[in-house]
Amino acid sequence: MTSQNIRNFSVIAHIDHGKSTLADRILELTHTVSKRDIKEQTLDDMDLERERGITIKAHPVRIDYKALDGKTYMLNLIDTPGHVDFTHEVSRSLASCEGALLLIDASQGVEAQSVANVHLASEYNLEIIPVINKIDLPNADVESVKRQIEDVLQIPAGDAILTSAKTGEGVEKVLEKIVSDIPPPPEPKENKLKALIFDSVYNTYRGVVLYVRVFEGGIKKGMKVLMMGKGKELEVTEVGIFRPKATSVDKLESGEVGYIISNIKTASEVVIGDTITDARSPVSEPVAGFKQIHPMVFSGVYPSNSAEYEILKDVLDKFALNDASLSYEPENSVALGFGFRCGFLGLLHMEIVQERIEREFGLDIVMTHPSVVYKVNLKGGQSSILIDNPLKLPEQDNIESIEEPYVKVYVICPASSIGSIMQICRDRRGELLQTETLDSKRVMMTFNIPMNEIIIDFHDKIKSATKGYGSMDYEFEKYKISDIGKLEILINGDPVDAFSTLVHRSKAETKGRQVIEKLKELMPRHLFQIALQATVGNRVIARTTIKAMRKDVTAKCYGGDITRKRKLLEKQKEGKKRMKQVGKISIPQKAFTAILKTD
Amino acid sequence: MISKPNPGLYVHVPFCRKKCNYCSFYSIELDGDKTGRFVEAVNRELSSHNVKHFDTLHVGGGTPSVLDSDKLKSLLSCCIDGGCREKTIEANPESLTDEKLKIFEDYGINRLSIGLQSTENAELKFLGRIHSYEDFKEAFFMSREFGFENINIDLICGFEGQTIEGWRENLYKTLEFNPEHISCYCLGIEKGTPYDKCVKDGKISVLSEDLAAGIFLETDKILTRAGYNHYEISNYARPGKESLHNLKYWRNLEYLGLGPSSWSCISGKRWWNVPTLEKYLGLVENDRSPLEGSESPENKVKFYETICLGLRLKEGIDPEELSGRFGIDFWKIYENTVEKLIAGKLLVKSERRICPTLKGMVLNNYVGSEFVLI
Ligand SMILES: Nc1nc2c(ncn2[C@@H]2O[C@H](COP(=O)(O)OP(=O)(O)O)[C@@H](O)[C@H]2O)c(=O)[nH]1
Ligand code: SF4
Repeated sequence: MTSQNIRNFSVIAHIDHGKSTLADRILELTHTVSKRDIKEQTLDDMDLERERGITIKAHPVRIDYKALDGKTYMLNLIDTPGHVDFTHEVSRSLASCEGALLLIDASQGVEAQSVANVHLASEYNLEIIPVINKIDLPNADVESVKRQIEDVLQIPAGDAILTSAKTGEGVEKVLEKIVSDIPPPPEPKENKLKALIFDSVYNTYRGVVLYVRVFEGGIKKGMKVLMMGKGKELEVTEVGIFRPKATSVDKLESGEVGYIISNIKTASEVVIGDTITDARSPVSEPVAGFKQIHPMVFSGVYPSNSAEYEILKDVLDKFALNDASLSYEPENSVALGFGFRCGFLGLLHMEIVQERIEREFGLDIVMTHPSVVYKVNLKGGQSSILIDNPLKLPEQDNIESIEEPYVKVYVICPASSIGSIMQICRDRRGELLQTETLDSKRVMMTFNIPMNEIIIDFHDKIKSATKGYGSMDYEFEKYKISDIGKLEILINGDPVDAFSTLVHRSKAETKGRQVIEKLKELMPRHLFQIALQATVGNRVIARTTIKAMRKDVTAKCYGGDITRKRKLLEKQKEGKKRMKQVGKISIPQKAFTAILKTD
Repeated sequence: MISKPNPGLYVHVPFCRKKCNYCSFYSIELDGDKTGRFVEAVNRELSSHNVKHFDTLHVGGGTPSVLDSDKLKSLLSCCIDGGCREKTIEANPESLTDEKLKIFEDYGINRLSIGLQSTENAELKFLGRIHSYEDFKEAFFMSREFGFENINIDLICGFEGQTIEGWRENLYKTLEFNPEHISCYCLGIEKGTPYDKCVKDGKISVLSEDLAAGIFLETDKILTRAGYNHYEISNYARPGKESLHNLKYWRNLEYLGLGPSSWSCISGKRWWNVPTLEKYLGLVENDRSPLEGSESPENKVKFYETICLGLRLKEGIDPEELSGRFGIDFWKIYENTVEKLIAGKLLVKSERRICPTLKGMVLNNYVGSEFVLI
């Protein structure tokens, strides 16, 4: 097949706007799968994804489509995750496409995630085809949605396709539009292999499977290829495509999308976004424009039971097999013992990793206050360092200035919640850039906010302020000099490392007070009085005390009370054992995570 | 070597005139029809056990004194064992009559435990008690006239609205009776009681930990000064008048319990009877065992359980005796624990024994949990 008949595309959609349903209809209509085989929603696999309605792993699917013009086209549907944190995955999926469907729910209108993803797609110069879905719903408002697409996203929507993924209406039009509007892959300049690794997935039997988009040349089984970034050679043991099940083929040609298998044991051996070329006759330039995205949120991850450090290490290794975006390195803490500093793409990514560790591996973990990456400019020179851990902050005397990352946040919400959203953002040092009216009821607000302010419960706040109707997304803006200080929590005069955080000075006092009040609530009384202090620099900004334990006794203990009492003491002992010891002080594990949600 | 003492015998009489607000013991309001069947069933239950000789007898409940004379007689005649050193019966002022005291005397009861709970009528009302201070006074002096020379008075402290001064007043008034034994229980909030519901509904607040601790220390001070031995967390006695029966619980020795909801511990096995009279009668009257469940804690568990219990007592524990009794080396396991608790002034060494300090008593759960082996 000539590359003129290939169309590579993604679907950009807000959660629940119908992406999976549409994909299912497309697969059905093109007989890629039979109706019978479609277990509801072919593209989402993992339970967790299903629960949260997000796709974590992008699966490329090859579809043969006989168009009305009589020709057969090869369509490659490259799935994208729906959530903010996975911008990097969206970004690499988009990097392998020439076009994207922008799918909007006719009854809901444009949501924030679509905004951010459309911005990304435009960066890759993709052809964007607006599709308005769920037109079968009685409250579908096609005209208003068209206006929003034009006003907010600056995309002409006059001939947007109207579909009902549920009934199948309009789905064929979508396919025709893909064929007519999305450009075929560009003609290769050379005949040498040049392919982009846009994802990888770990398979117990096969090792790491790489998803690739071939831009130039071709890739075959048995070929020796070079990963240009890593400078590592591989022998290709299998080449294949997904339809939607993995099916091996002889060759992937220029413009095609598929997978390759080589002898790769862990995801960390591969850099997503790397270029693959022929080891014998390599190209000189890698695939242009792919953004390498780094973790943005870091947190200490410790086993609840210190004896389980090795288990935690195994679990993280297993994770890394599949998730190259998770970074981790050993770290230790006086309070928490041995653990890892983990880097996540965002808060959701962090929550997902945490949940999976606990749920799938049954391991209890403690996570410390997440931190963004700060840029510290050192005195007496040009040098600056990036720090992702408050404990690595250099001595104050050596610091010229500290910069913190800012993000642009889009919030789409009912007009009636403007006030509360403004309040939330102002409380978080946000600056309102603009407010646009979407329709008679909804607006989109754009803010500039320090990233540090949104990594904890910002999303939840937006959701509750809008009674669930609001949506948000963000994109990285830039680093800006800021008045950042290290907030420390001292227990009986000694700082507890795991509680340290970097905060904006204007927030230090409130935050410090919140943390020690929370600690006071959660810490057990000890035999002695405990002083809690919050400091920034050497200045105490808040203090409180936990009184000594005065009475802890069961008044009556006769026949039947004995067993009950023993159980009570056993529980008490169990609780004591689970607490973390800092000198003579016992701190319940809950305290380390509870301080995350201080208000 | 001294031979193993006989077990104690406990009989749970599950009847009261009226249920008190805070009480979680199993008892029902007096039902004349059932008392006869109950006494009969206890008789049967006792004869189903192999143990025939007892060192102590404690008839409790509930309120044993609410049984009428005939029932009392048949109950006591079945469970009194001549070899018993201590024979206690619990009584409440409202049902302690001349006639009943006479029966107690006739059957050899040598210790009475009377529920006063408070010397203030307003407090008695708050607790849901049906007697008055005056009722108690009358019952107490009547008992003395009958010649009972070993009487315990039960008091409750640590409920809402109580102050240190108010409590002192209670103690002083109690001391006027010059009882041989005083039990002072800090009111616990027991699940499912009306009192518990009031607390949950916010109608009653819980006494602060500091005040409760203050009351505990004040009690110790006043009663110790008055010559009582503070021999267990909630119990004070004239020297030599410590409750032999209750000591069996705290020393983790053997006892047999009869009646619904009673517990037994014999030969390393602990078992408990069905919780209601209904079920109890249903089983026993059909010649079936009223046992509901049992446990045989492993040796290690019994070991630390015995330590935890022993540390409720001023006499504390004897590490060598425990090591011998359980075949576990006490010092090997607990050297650091004991050292730490001594440094924290919670325990002291007294010759070969380890005893709780007053602070160690009021923090008994904390101290005990340090000995739990898990
Ligand atoms: N009425 C109606 N419901 C739809 C349509 N498309 C999808 N849905 C429903 O919308 C919900 C979300 O769809 P899904 O495909 O899971 O959305 P995704 O999160 O974007 O993948 C599901 O309950 C679908 O059944 C449509 O065209 N009409
Ligand atoms: S406290 Fe005593 S008298 Fe009151 S209900 Fe309970 S057992 Fe009966």
